[in-house]
Amino acid sequence: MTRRTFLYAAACAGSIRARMREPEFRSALVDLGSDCVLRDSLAGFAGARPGAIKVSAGQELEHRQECLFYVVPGAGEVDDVLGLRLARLVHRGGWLLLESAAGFAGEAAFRTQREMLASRFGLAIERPVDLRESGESIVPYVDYVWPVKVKIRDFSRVVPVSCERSEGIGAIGGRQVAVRRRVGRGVLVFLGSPIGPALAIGDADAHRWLNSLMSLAARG
Amino acid sequence: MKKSIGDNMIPKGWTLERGLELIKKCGYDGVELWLGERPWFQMDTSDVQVRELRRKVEDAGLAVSDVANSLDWDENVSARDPRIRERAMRHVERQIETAQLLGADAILVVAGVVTEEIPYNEVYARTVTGLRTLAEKAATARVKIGCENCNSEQRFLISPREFQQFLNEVNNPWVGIHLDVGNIHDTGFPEQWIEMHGRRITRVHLKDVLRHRGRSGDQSVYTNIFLGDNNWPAIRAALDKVGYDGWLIAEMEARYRYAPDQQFWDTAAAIDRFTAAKF
Repeated sequence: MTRRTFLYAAACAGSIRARMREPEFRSALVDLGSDCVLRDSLAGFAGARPGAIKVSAGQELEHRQECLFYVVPGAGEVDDVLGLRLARLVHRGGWLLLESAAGFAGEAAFRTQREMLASRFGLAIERPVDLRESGESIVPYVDYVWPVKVKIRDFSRVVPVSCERSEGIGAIGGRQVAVRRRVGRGVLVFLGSPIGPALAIGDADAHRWLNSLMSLAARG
Repeated sequence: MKKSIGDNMIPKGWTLERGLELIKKCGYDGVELWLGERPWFQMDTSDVQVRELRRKVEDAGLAVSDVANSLDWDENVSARDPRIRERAMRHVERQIETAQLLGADAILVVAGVVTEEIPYNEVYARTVTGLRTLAEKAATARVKIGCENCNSEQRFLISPREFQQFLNEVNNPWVGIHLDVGNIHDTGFPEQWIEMHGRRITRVHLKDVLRHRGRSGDQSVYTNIFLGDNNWPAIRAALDKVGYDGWLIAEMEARYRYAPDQQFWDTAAAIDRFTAAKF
């Protein structure tokens, strides 16, 4: 057994819950490559969680089962194959933060993402909305109510989501754009308004929100 | 949040007592006193008279929200002439002293005025130096100095990042920004200034602005709350975001031509709606 294999096996030992109680539980930042349509969002998350393991969306993801918190920033197209992998991780007890940037991808990417979310997570998202297209003056903040109450600037285009009232965690202009849903033994947190760019510019509320979420995940 | 209005808004010819009575009746919690503006509050007003001023304010059921001044435009800490600069330092020090006597913990200054004659870099250096000195006195008195953003009139610290850099260089927690949401004109957006300065905001001045007018004509760009181009819901949300819960102070340039007291009533009602976020 190589030292690397040993460390990997050791990391996988014990229950997920026990590992989540560890002070520095493992998190992974999933780089979708060309399907990450907001690279500044990826950079924002990477800066905010420098300890997170960077993984690609391919086979590598399957080998990262020791991680308990997965962040998928700036997601454009997310096909069913990747959706299945992510869903498995969540069903096993992982937390998935999926940040949709479908408003910055094409129609086909949006449709693929919508179908994947519906089939793998039972989540219904709506067509992206450009908040300023109507020309109306808007309050430029998404009001998050969970895991901590904060205001984070919108990023122009949002993906509204249909959900139970109790699942909604963030809204702007009367539209629900963030949701948390228990899936199997894990949790999906869907963001229809990217927060990665706010993390990148050092927005204190965005950092507080992410830190609170990760603390909650670490407590299981 | 508490609401206040400047004593410089009291119609000319009225006594202070009459003005304070109107301010109280309109539902304000306090008054902003302008050093050098009205006969009741000048540089030669003694400490005893300042205490008497406080008594009048309190008898009217009000508090002093802060001490502003109307002297900075002629005597600025950035002036080239050392004698003028000294006078500027003296009147700001007097603001600090009187703020203590009046039970207020903040003053407003217009720090630095760029002109065709006195260039930006020169003004910047002298203003930082002046504020560092004044900050020591402010810290001892536990009175915050709020540098107002009179962006286009000062031609100085036009963007929020410049202002941030300036405050970083002064580097004293007793010096912050007295943010006027009407002064940003078409050079930016007040809600973004609020976000960037957050805890450094000492007080907030409220008025609206007509962005399209610019400042080149003879007409004022300023107007009453809700009549101009400010995005008031966004400003309200930004204050909420940064946790500002301090004084909101009405500062109007355009005055009502007839029934001047009506402006006090209308402004109080507008601030109430703003505070309640009922848009």
